[in-house]
Amino acid sequence: MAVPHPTRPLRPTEIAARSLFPLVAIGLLASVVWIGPWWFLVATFVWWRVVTLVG
Amino acid sequence: MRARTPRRLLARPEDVHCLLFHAFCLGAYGLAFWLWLHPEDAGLSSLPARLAFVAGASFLLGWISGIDVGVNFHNHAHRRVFRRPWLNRWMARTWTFSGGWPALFWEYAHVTVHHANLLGERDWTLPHRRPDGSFENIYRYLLCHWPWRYGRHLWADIRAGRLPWASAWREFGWFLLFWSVPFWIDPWMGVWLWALPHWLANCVTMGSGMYVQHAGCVPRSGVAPVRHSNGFLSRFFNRTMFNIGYHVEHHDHPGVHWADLPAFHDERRDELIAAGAHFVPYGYYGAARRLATLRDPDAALREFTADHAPGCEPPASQAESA
Repeated sequence: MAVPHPTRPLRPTEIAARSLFPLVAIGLLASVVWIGPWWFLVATFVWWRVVTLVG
Repeated sequence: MRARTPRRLLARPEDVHCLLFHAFCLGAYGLAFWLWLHPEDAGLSSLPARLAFVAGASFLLGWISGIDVGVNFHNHAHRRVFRRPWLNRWMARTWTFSGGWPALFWEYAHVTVHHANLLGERDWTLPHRRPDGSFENIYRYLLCHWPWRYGRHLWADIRAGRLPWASAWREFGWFLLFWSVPFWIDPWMGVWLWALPHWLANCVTMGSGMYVQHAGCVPRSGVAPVRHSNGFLSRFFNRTMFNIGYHVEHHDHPGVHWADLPAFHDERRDELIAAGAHFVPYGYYGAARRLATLRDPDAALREFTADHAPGCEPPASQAESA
Protein backbone atom coordinates (compact mmCIF):
# COMPACT_ATOMS: atom_id res chain seq x y z
CA MET A 1 0.00 0.00 0.00
CA ALA A 2 1.53 3.29 -1.03
CA VAL A 3 1.22 5.77 1.79
CA PRO A 4 2.59 9.30 1.40
CA HIS A 5 5.13 9.97 4.11
CA PRO A 6 6.97 13.01 5.39
CA THR A 7 10.76 12.68 5.29
CA ARG A 8 11.95 13.93 8.64
CA PRO A 9 15.56 14.78 9.47
CA LEU A 10 17.25 12.03 11.47
CA ARG A 11 18.10 13.02 15.02
CA PRO A 12 20.96 11.28 16.88
CA THR A 13 18.86 11.18 20.07
CA GLU A 14 16.15 9.31 18.18
CA ILE A 15 18.66 6.77 16.89
CA ALA A 16 20.05 6.32 20.41
CA ALA A 17 16.55 5.85 21.86
CA ARG A 18 15.62 3.32 19.19
CA SER A 19 18.84 1.40 19.82
CA LEU A 20 18.40 1.61 23.59
CA PHE A 21 18.33 -2.14 24.21
CA PRO A 22 21.51 -3.13 22.33
CA LEU A 23 23.32 -0.03 23.65
CA VAL A 24 22.43 -0.87 27.25
CA ALA A 25 23.50 -4.47 26.59
CA ILE A 26 26.88 -3.22 25.31
CA GLY A 27 27.21 -0.91 28.31
CA LEU A 28 26.41 -3.68 30.79
CA LEU A 29 28.75 -6.15 29.09
CA ALA A 30 31.55 -3.54 29.05
CA SER A 31 31.01 -2.95 32.76
CA VAL A 32 31.99 -6.56 33.58
CA VAL A 33 35.67 -5.55 33.50
CA TRP A 34 35.09 -2.99 36.28
CA ILE A 35 32.23 -4.33 38.39
CA GLY A 36 32.78 -8.08 37.94
CA PRO A 37 30.32 -10.79 36.84
CA TRP A 38 28.17 -10.86 39.99
CA TRP A 39 27.29 -7.15 40.01
CA PHE A 40 26.85 -7.43 36.23
CA LEU A 41 24.25 -10.15 36.84
CA VAL A 42 22.48 -7.98 39.43
CA ALA A 43 22.50 -4.95 37.11
CA THR A 44 21.08 -7.07 34.26
CA PHE A 45 18.27 -8.30 36.49
CA VAL A 46 17.48 -4.73 37.63
CA TRP A 47 17.43 -3.50 33.99
CA TRP A 48 15.06 -6.30 32.97
CA ARG A 49 12.79 -5.59 35.93
CA VAL A 50 12.64 -1.86 35.17
CA VAL A 51 11.72 -2.53 31.54
CA THR A 52 9.00 -5.02 32.41
CA LEU A 53 7.50 -2.37 34.72
CA VAL A 54 7.66 0.61 32.34
CA GLY A 55 7.36 -1.11 28.96
CA MET B 1 27.93 12.78 -12.61
CA ARG B 2 25.81 12.80 -9.49
CA ALA B 3 27.53 12.03 -6.21
CA ARG B 4 26.37 8.84 -4.52
CA THR B 5 25.44 9.21 -0.89
CA PRO B 6 24.70 6.39 1.56
CA ARG B 7 21.14 7.68 1.87
CA ARG B 8 20.41 6.77 -1.74
CA LEU B 9 21.12 3.15 -0.99
CA LEU B 10 18.25 3.05 1.47
CA ALA B 11 14.58 2.82 0.59
CA ARG B 12 13.84 5.27 3.41
CA PRO B 13 16.37 7.39 5.38
CA GLU B 14 14.84 6.16 8.67
CA ASP B 15 15.96 2.63 7.81
CA VAL B 16 19.47 3.58 8.89
CA HIS B 17 18.08 2.91 12.39
CA CYS B 18 17.47 -0.72 11.41
CA LEU B 19 21.03 -1.17 10.19
CA LEU B 20 22.53 0.51 13.27
CA PHE B 21 20.39 -1.60 15.59
CA HIS B 22 21.66 -4.78 13.93
CA ALA B 23 25.27 -3.51 14.02
CA PHE B 24 24.95 -2.77 17.75
CA CYS B 25 23.60 -6.29 18.32
CA LEU B 26 26.55 -7.85 16.52
CA GLY B 27 28.82 -5.52 18.52
CA ALA B 28 27.29 -6.80 21.77
CA TYR B 29 28.01 -10.41 20.70
CA GLY B 30 31.57 -9.42 19.76
CA LEU B 31 32.11 -7.84 23.17
CA ALA B 32 30.69 -10.87 25.02
CA PHE B 33 32.95 -13.17 22.98
CA TRP B 34 35.99 -11.01 23.79
CA LEU B 35 35.21 -11.18 27.51
CA TRP B 36 34.83 -14.98 27.31
CA LEU B 37 38.11 -15.34 25.42
CA HIS B 38 40.01 -13.04 27.87
CA PRO B 39 38.93 -14.40 31.29
CA GLU B 40 41.91 -12.89 33.13
CA ASP B 41 41.08 -9.35 31.97
CA ALA B 42 37.35 -9.80 32.58
CA GLY B 43 37.60 -11.45 36.02
CA LEU B 44 36.04 -14.67 34.71
CA SER B 45 38.72 -17.12 35.78
CA SER B 46 36.63 -19.13 38.27
CA LEU B 47 33.69 -21.36 37.32
CA PRO B 48 31.12 -19.47 39.49
CA ALA B 49 32.24 -16.15 37.96
CA ARG B 50 31.89 -17.60 34.48
CA LEU B 51 28.43 -18.98 35.29
CA ALA B 52 27.28 -15.56 36.56
CA PHE B 53 28.63 -13.94 33.40
CA VAL B 54 26.91 -16.49 31.13
CA ALA B 55 23.59 -16.06 32.97
CA GLY B 56 23.59 -12.28 32.51
CA ALA B 57 25.18 -12.16 29.04
CA SER B 58 23.05 -14.90 27.45
CA PHE B 59 19.91 -13.20 28.75
CA LEU B 60 20.94 -9.76 27.43
CA LEU B 61 22.05 -11.16 24.08
CA GLY B 62 18.89 -13.23 23.70
CA TRP B 63 16.77 -10.22 24.54
CA ILE B 64 18.33 -7.97 21.88
CA SER B 65 18.49 -10.77 19.28
CA GLY B 66 14.79 -11.39 19.74
CA ILE B 67 14.11 -7.72 18.97
CA ASP B 68 16.65 -7.69 16.15
CA VAL B 69 14.87 -10.52 14.32
CA GLY B 70 11.28 -10.33 15.57
CA VAL B 71 10.96 -6.56 15.22
CA ASN B 72 13.89 -5.16 13.26
CA PHE B 73 14.28 -7.80 10.52
CA HIS B 74 10.49 -7.99 10.58
CA ASN B 75 10.50 -4.41 9.22
CA HIS B 76 12.76 -5.53 6.38
CA ALA B 77 10.56 -8.58 5.66
CA HIS B 78 7.66 -6.24 4.92
CA ARG B 79 9.53 -3.29 3.41
CA ARG B 80 13.08 -3.84 2.15
CA VAL B 81 15.58 -1.41 3.65
CA PHE B 82 17.75 -1.13 0.51
CA ARG B 83 16.78 -0.21 -3.01
CA ARG B 84 18.99 -2.85 -4.61
CA PRO B 85 17.81 -6.50 -4.53
CA TRP B 86 21.28 -8.01 -4.08
CA LEU B 87 21.94 -5.78 -1.07
CA ASN B 88 18.61 -6.79 0.44
CA ARG B 89 19.38 -10.48 -0.14
CA TRP B 90 22.78 -10.29 1.55
CA MET B 91 21.54 -8.04 4.33
CA ALA B 92 18.88 -10.63 5.15
CA ARG B 93 21.43 -13.47 5.15
CA THR B 94 23.71 -11.59 7.53
CA TRP B 95 20.83 -10.41 9.71
CA THR B 96 18.78 -13.30 11.07
CA PHE B 97 21.64 -15.76 11.62
CA SER B 98 22.35 -13.89 14.88
CA GLY B 99 18.84 -14.81 16.03
CA GLY B 100 19.03 -18.50 15.10
CA TRP B 101 17.09 -18.25 11.81
CA PRO B 102 17.72 -18.49 8.08
CA ALA B 103 16.16 -15.25 6.76
CA LEU B 104 13.99 -17.00 4.18
CA PHE B 105 12.45 -19.29 6.81
CA TRP B 106 11.58 -16.46 9.17
CA GLU B 107 10.14 -14.34 6.38
CA TYR B 108 8.10 -17.28 5.06
CA ALA B 109 6.73 -18.09 8.54
CA HIS B 110 5.86 -14.48 9.21
CA VAL B 111 4.58 -13.13 5.89
CA THR B 112 3.30 -16.17 3.99
CA VAL B 113 1.98 -18.12 6.98
CA HIS B 114 1.17 -15.65 9.76
CA HIS B 115 0.03 -12.54 7.88
CA ALA B 116 -1.80 -14.37 5.11
CA ASN B 117 -3.68 -16.71 7.48
CA LEU B 118 -3.95 -14.64 10.64
CA LEU B 119 -5.53 -16.73 13.43
CA GLY B 120 -6.74 -19.24 10.82
CA GLU B 121 -6.17 -22.98 10.53
CA ARG B 122 -2.98 -22.48 8.49
CA ASP B 123 -1.39 -19.98 10.87
CA TRP B 124 0.96 -22.40 12.63
CA THR B 125 3.12 -19.61 14.04
CA LEU B 126 0.61 -18.82 16.79
CA PRO B 127 -0.17 -20.80 19.96
CA HIS B 128 -2.40 -23.85 19.66
CA ARG B 129 -6.06 -23.12 20.37
CA ARG B 130 -8.25 -24.82 22.96
CA PRO B 131 -11.76 -26.00 21.97
CA ASP B 132 -13.17 -22.65 23.22
CA GLY B 133 -10.80 -20.80 20.87
CA SER B 134 -8.47 -19.45 23.57
CA PHE B 135 -4.68 -19.82 23.36
CA GLU B 136 -2.81 -22.62 25.12
CA ASN B 137 -0.86 -21.66 28.26
CA ILE B 138 1.91 -19.15 27.49
CA TYR B 139 4.67 -21.31 29.04
CA ARG B 140 3.66 -24.30 26.95
CA TYR B 141 3.82 -22.14 23.83
CA LEU B 142 7.23 -20.67 24.74
CA LEU B 143 8.77 -24.07 25.41
CA CYS B 144 7.16 -26.10 22.61
CA HIS B 145 7.08 -23.76 19.66
CA TRP B 146 10.68 -22.92 18.74
CA PRO B 147 12.41 -24.85 17.22
CA TRP B 148 10.22 -27.93 17.52
CA ARG B 149 6.87 -26.92 16.04
CA TYR B 150 8.47 -24.38 13.68
CA GLY B 151 10.87 -27.05 12.40
CA ARG B 152 8.10 -29.59 11.86
CA HIS B 153 5.85 -27.16 9.99
CA LEU B 154 8.65 -25.71 7.89
CA TRP B 155 9.73 -29.21 6.89
CA ALA B 156 6.13 -30.11 5.97
CA ASP B 157 5.81 -26.93 3.88
CA ILE B 158 9.12 -27.57 2.11
CA ARG B 159 8.03 -31.14 1.30
CA ALA B 160 4.66 -29.89 0.05
CA GLY B 161 6.39 -27.37 -2.22
CA ARG B 162 4.90 -24.34 -0.48
CA LEU B 163 8.41 -23.21 0.41
CA PRO B 164 10.61 -23.86 -2.65
CA TRP B 165 13.03 -26.72 -2.00
CA ALA B 166 16.05 -25.21 -3.81
CA SER B 167 15.75 -21.79 -2.11
CA ALA B 168 15.21 -23.42 1.26
CA TRP B 169 18.39 -25.52 1.05
CA ARG B 170 20.47 -22.68 -0.38
CA GLU B 171 19.44 -20.28 2.39
CA PHE B 172 19.80 -22.97 5.06
CA GLY B 173 23.36 -23.54 3.80
CA TRP B 174 24.24 -19.84 4.11
CA PHE B 175 22.70 -19.82 7.58
CA LEU B 176 24.76 -22.81 8.72
CA LEU B 177 27.94 -21.23 7.39
CA PHE B 178 27.45 -17.97 9.32
CA TRP B 179 25.85 -19.54 12.38
CA SER B 180 28.70 -22.02 12.89
CA VAL B 181 31.45 -19.35 13.16
CA PRO B 182 31.42 -18.95 17.00
CA PHE B 183 31.65 -22.74 17.40
CA TRP B 184 34.80 -22.82 15.30
CA ILE B 185 36.37 -20.15 17.54
CA ASP B 186 35.44 -21.86 20.84
CA PRO B 187 32.76 -24.60 21.01
CA TRP B 188 31.73 -23.84 24.63
CA MET B 189 31.51 -20.14 23.84
CA GLY B 190 29.27 -21.13 20.93
CA VAL B 191 26.97 -23.05 23.28
CA TRP B 192 26.70 -20.48 26.10
CA LEU B 193 27.01 -17.15 24.30
CA TRP B 194 25.47 -18.02 20.91
CA ALA B 195 23.09 -21.01 20.93
CA LEU B 196 21.67 -20.28 24.41
CA PRO B 197 20.95 -16.61 23.59
CA HIS B 198 19.21 -17.75 20.40
CA TRP B 199 17.02 -20.11 22.38
CA LEU B 200 16.15 -17.21 24.73
CA ALA B 201 15.59 -14.86 21.77
CA ASN B 202 13.05 -17.21 20.23
CA CYS B 203 11.38 -18.73 23.28
CA VAL B 204 11.31 -15.73 25.60
CA THR B 205 11.48 -12.54 23.54
CA MET B 206 9.83 -13.47 20.25
CA GLY B 207 7.54 -16.15 21.74
CA SER B 208 6.05 -13.87 24.38
CA GLY B 209 5.71 -11.10 21.78
CA MET B 210 3.77 -13.36 19.42
CA TYR B 211 1.57 -14.50 22.29
CA VAL B 212 0.55 -11.07 23.60
CA GLN B 213 0.00 -9.60 20.11
CA HIS B 214 -2.96 -11.92 19.53
CA ALA B 215 -4.03 -13.16 23.00
CA GLY B 216 -7.80 -13.00 23.40
CA CYS B 217 -8.25 -12.15 19.70
CA VAL B 218 -10.52 -13.62 17.04
CA PRO B 219 -10.11 -14.06 13.28
CA ARG B 220 -11.08 -11.08 11.11
CA SER B 221 -14.81 -11.09 10.28
CA GLY B 222 -17.62 -8.74 9.42
CA VAL B 223 -18.70 -8.68 13.06
CA ALA B 224 -15.18 -8.20 14.46
CA PRO B 225 -13.08 -6.61 11.72
CA VAL B 226 -10.21 -5.38 13.95
CA ARG B 227 -10.18 -7.80 16.91
CA HIS B 228 -7.48 -9.91 15.25
CA SER B 229 -4.67 -8.15 17.13
CA ASN B 230 -4.00 -6.13 20.27
CA GLY B 231 -2.58 -2.61 20.10
CA PHE B 232 0.06 -1.38 22.58
CA LEU B 233 0.31 2.38 23.08
CA SER B 234 3.20 2.81 25.55
CA ARG B 235 5.39 5.64 24.21
CA PHE B 236 8.53 4.14 25.74
CA PHE B 237 7.77 0.77 24.17
CA ASN B 238 7.02 2.09 20.69
CA ARG B 239 9.98 4.50 20.66
CA THR B 240 12.40 1.73 21.53
CA MET B 241 10.74 -1.05 19.49
CA PHE B 242 10.23 0.41 16.01
CA ASN B 243 6.52 1.17 16.68
CA ILE B 244 5.62 -2.53 16.68
CA GLY B 245 2.93 -1.78 19.29
CA TYR B 246 0.66 -0.41 16.55
CA HIS B 247 -0.13 -3.99 15.72
CA VAL B 248 -3.77 -3.67 14.67
CA GLU B 249 -2.75 -1.13 12.03
CA HIS B 250 0.26 -3.24 11.05
CA HIS B 251 -1.83 -6.33 10.31
CA ASP B 252 -4.42 -4.38 8.36
CA HIS B 253 -1.78 -2.41 6.43
CA PRO B 254 1.53 -4.34 6.55
CA GLY B 255 2.98 -2.15 3.79
CA VAL B 256 2.96 0.96 6.01
CA HIS B 257 6.53 1.79 6.97
CA TRP B 258 7.38 1.41 10.68
CA ALA B 259 8.30 5.11 10.92
CA ASP B 260 4.83 6.12 9.68
CA LEU B 261 2.81 3.97 12.07
CA PRO B 262 2.29 6.57 14.87
CA ALA B 263 0.80 9.11 12.42
CA PHE B 264 -1.13 6.32 10.70
CA HIS B 265 -2.55 5.29 14.09
CA ASP B 266 -3.54 8.89 14.98
CA GLU B 267 -5.46 9.22 11.71
CA ARG B 268 -7.44 6.00 12.23
CA ARG B 269 -7.67 5.78 16.00
CA ASP B 270 -11.35 6.83 16.39
CA GLU B 271 -12.45 4.67 13.50
CA LEU B 272 -10.62 1.65 14.92
CA ILE B 273 -12.02 2.13 18.42
CA ALA B 274 -15.53 2.41 16.97
CA ALA B 275 -14.92 -0.89 15.15
CA GLY B 276 -13.90 -2.59 18.42
CA ALA B 277 -10.09 -2.42 18.36
CA HIS B 278 -8.34 -3.26 21.64
CA PHE B 279 -5.59 -0.85 22.73
CA VAL B 280 -3.76 -1.15 26.05
CA PRO B 281 -1.61 1.59 27.63
CA TYR B 282 1.52 -0.54 28.06
CA GLY B 283 3.83 -2.51 25.74
CA TYR B 284 4.62 -6.20 25.22
CA TYR B 285 6.72 -6.28 28.38
CA GLY B 286 3.81 -5.14 30.52
CA ALA B 287 1.41 -7.46 28.71
CA ALA B 288 3.70 -10.49 29.10
CA ARG B 289 4.16 -9.69 32.80
CA ARG B 290 0.38 -9.74 33.21
CA LEU B 291 -0.31 -12.85 31.09
CA ALA B 292 2.61 -15.00 32.23
CA THR B 293 1.16 -15.48 35.69
CA LEU B 294 1.15 -18.98 37.12
CA ARG B 295 -1.89 -18.19 39.28
CA ASP B 296 -5.15 -18.28 37.29
CA PRO B 297 -3.93 -17.37 33.77
CA ASP B 298 -7.56 -17.36 32.51
CA ALA B 299 -8.40 -14.53 34.93
CA ALA B 300 -5.23 -12.71 33.80
CA LEU B 301 -6.40 -12.96 30.18
CA ARG B 302 -9.84 -11.65 31.12
CA GLU B 303 -8.24 -8.67 32.89
CA PHE B 304 -5.93 -8.03 29.94
CA THR B 305 -8.85 -8.13 27.50
CA ALA B 306 -10.83 -5.73 29.69
CA ASP B 307 -7.86 -3.34 29.96
CA HIS B 308 -8.02 -0.26 27.71
CA ALA B 309 -5.72 2.70 27.18
CA PRO B 310 -7.29 6.02 28.29
CA GLY B 311 -9.61 7.24 25.56
CA CYS B 312 -9.64 3.84 23.86
CA GLU B 313 -12.51 2.28 25.80
CA PRO B 314 -15.11 0.43 23.72
CA PRO B 315 -17.93 2.65 22.42
CA ALA B 316 -20.49 1.07 24.79
CA SER B 317 -18.36 1.92 27.88
CA GLN B 318 -17.80 5.47 26.62
CA ALA B 319 -21.54 5.95 26.19
CA GLU B 320 -22.20 4.60 29.71
CA SER B 321 -19.63 6.87 31.35
CA ALA B 322 -20.99 9.87 29.39
